[in-house]
Amino acid sequence: MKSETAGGPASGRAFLTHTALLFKIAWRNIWLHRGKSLIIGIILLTGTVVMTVGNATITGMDKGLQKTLVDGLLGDLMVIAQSTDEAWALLGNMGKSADLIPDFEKVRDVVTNDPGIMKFLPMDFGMFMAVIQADSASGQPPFVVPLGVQYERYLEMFSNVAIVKGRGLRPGESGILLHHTTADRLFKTYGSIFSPVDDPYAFTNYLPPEAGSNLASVIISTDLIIVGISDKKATLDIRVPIIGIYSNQRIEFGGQGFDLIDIQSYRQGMNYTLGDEEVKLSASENAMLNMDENALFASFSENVSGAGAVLGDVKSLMVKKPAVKAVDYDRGGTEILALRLKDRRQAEEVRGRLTKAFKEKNLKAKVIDWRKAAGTLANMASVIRIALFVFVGFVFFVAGIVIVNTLAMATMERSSELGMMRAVGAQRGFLGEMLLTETFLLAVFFGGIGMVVGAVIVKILAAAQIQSTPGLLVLVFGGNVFNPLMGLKDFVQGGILLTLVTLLSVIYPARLAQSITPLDAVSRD
Amino acid sequence: MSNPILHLSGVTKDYWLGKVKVPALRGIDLEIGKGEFMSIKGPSGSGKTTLLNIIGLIDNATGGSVLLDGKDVTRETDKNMTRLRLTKIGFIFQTFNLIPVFNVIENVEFPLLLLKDRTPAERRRKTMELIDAVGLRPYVHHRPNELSGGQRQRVAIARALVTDPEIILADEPTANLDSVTGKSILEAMKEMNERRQTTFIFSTHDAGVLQYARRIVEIHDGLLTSRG
Ligand SMILES: Nc1ncnc2c1ncn2[C@@H]1O[C@H](COP(=O)(O)OP(=O)(O)OP(=O)(O)O)[C@@H](O)[C@H]1O
Ligand SMILES: [Mg+2]
Repeated sequence: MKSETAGGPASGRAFLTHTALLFKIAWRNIWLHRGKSLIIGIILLTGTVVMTVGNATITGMDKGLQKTLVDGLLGDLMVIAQSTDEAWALLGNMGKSADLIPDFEKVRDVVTNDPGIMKFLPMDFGMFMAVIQADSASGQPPFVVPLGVQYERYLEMFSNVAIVKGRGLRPGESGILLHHTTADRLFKTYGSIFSPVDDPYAFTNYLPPEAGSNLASVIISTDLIIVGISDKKATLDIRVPIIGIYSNQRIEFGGQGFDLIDIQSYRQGMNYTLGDEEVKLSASENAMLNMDENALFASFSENVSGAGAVLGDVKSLMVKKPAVKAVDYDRGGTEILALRLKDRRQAEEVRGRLTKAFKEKNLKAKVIDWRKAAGTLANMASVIRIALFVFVGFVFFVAGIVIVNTLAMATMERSSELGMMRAVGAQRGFLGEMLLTETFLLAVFFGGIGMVVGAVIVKILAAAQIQSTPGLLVLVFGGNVFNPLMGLKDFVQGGILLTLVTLLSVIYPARLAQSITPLDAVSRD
Repeated sequence: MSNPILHLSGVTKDYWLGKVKVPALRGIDLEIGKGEFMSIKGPSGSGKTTLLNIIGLIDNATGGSVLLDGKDVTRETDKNMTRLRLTKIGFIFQTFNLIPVFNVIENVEFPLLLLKDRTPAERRRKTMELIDAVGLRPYVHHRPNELSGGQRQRVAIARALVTDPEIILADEPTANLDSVTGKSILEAMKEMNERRQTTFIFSTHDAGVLQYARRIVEIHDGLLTSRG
């Protein structure tokens, strides 16, 4: 017996010889049993295509969702009060409001000093109840869910407002932009048309279909009286003119949207600090705010026709002027500080820095990412991905079973031949390696084709520029067009999964093959 | 015998059919020398196959010892047994001798590939030498299913000899062949034995085949009745 040399060219050659032999046998057997091979191959191919396309779809969705939300409302990061409920999210959990950020000025200073921050925007977001003369029999309280922002800065950061009627807020102006769904909802429930104060007759351009027949009886309101809903603090009634009606170009789903209000009005309504001092109301103002509702409505909600002047008077009388001179908007009560980063990819580092700085300065603020801020909405992609994994897992499970069965049967059928190989001098492991090589070749070949086919399908889908239908899909597509994405990561993942399936499904047949003894070469029958 | 290549002493083999013991070999003592051309003869069920399997390290004896080249191989590991089969023993089976997806060259070369330490040139030379020796040069690219039974057995002989083993075992190598072809196979084996001094041990029922043997060992009911 020649001794086997360790290392060196001899062992290198031995390895090559061995591998070449395995591949040759495997390849020839695949070809000989091409029917079975094809069945296994097609199953592997199908699994891989489903996996590739599914993954790309979900990755594209997730990226789209991120882009939509980060660009459209949330910013890259958000700072909120530490005491804010864990379950709080700007989206998908509209009932809960965030706590005020304590020591907001100091928090703001930390943020402004961070080199990674490009822009920031204080926001307040919560529920208000509208004080409306309820004509309608519907018992639902008229809620509005306004986002309080400094409008011009909001536009700079999230350019997603399309004015449907009226106009946007001017700097320093107090007022509300109703989301068109809010306007519709209020009309449906209360029978009043809420119209912009500058252009109350424009409603005819935007008249809910229900109003069509009896225009004469329609009540037009150009402002709203709303009162903040808070379980922490006494809140105040405020009267805000309706400046416009808008639709959000990015974040509209499930027929819902939020209204935009100037942040100072929001702060007043929630009884927050305004950025200069606590608002002190005069006795008459207090009296007016505490008037009983019917009296209040008698003076406010009137048929607009011919009442323009009266309206102006009432307004000057009633609406507390919120915009105090020299207000520092970045000082007043703030629940949310949305951050836009210079480089989106550094979100985690910036977050770490800010968290550390808040801790060092003993500030009770925390930083959340867009995913957390988006609440249940952000999990949508994850949920769909899990569903896909379950499906792909199932496909591969079936594939595995078929492979195990086919290989096990083939092994049994070939036991004489395999036994002869053992008798002639093939080691026990050789038979297992033969099977593994066979399956491996099938997996590489058909899995490879599957990935290429998947990639082509993804390319075609991307090139097809599939338009989304309005609503949820726009949000998910991250725009109007479906854009599946596939990266190297998906290929690697696919490869790993395929390898795993191959290895797992070869274990049993390989063990079976290794249990074949040289005696099987000679056993009769 | 001065220097036997194989030495069996007290070899027994029991099979179990459920709880019933079937003693296939009941104490075999046998010495086989280098270069012998020996046949094992006996009625059906007498233990010929069992004995050949034990000699060929395909099966383990229940008792007794087998010395190969003076070394006791009775309790070797599976790995070592396999290595011994590869390097020292050649097999010619009755059927299923060849790898169906390999042609003649590849089948003959197969043990050399398992040996791993030969260069491609060495392998090719040795393979072709043996294919020539069994007269199959025109058929080198045929697969087993494209060969006659006799041609297949010739491939098996070439394959068995390719690693220059010391012993070649053949359990009824001609059982599936007609008598003319059977004789030509025996001629081929005998020629190899004479040219290379390789020990051949074969079993047969066939009197026509038996006449080629230089030594005949007889077995009855698991016991040797004649050592030739
Ligand atoms: N795997 C087995 N299990 C149980 N009994 C066996 C087994 N193999 C052989 N035997 C028994 O051992 C005895 C010897 O069998 P063996 O095959 O060695 O006989 P043989 O001389 O080769 O017969 P034949 O000429 O028919 O080939 C027989 O009684 C047989 O039934
Ligand atoms: Mg027999």
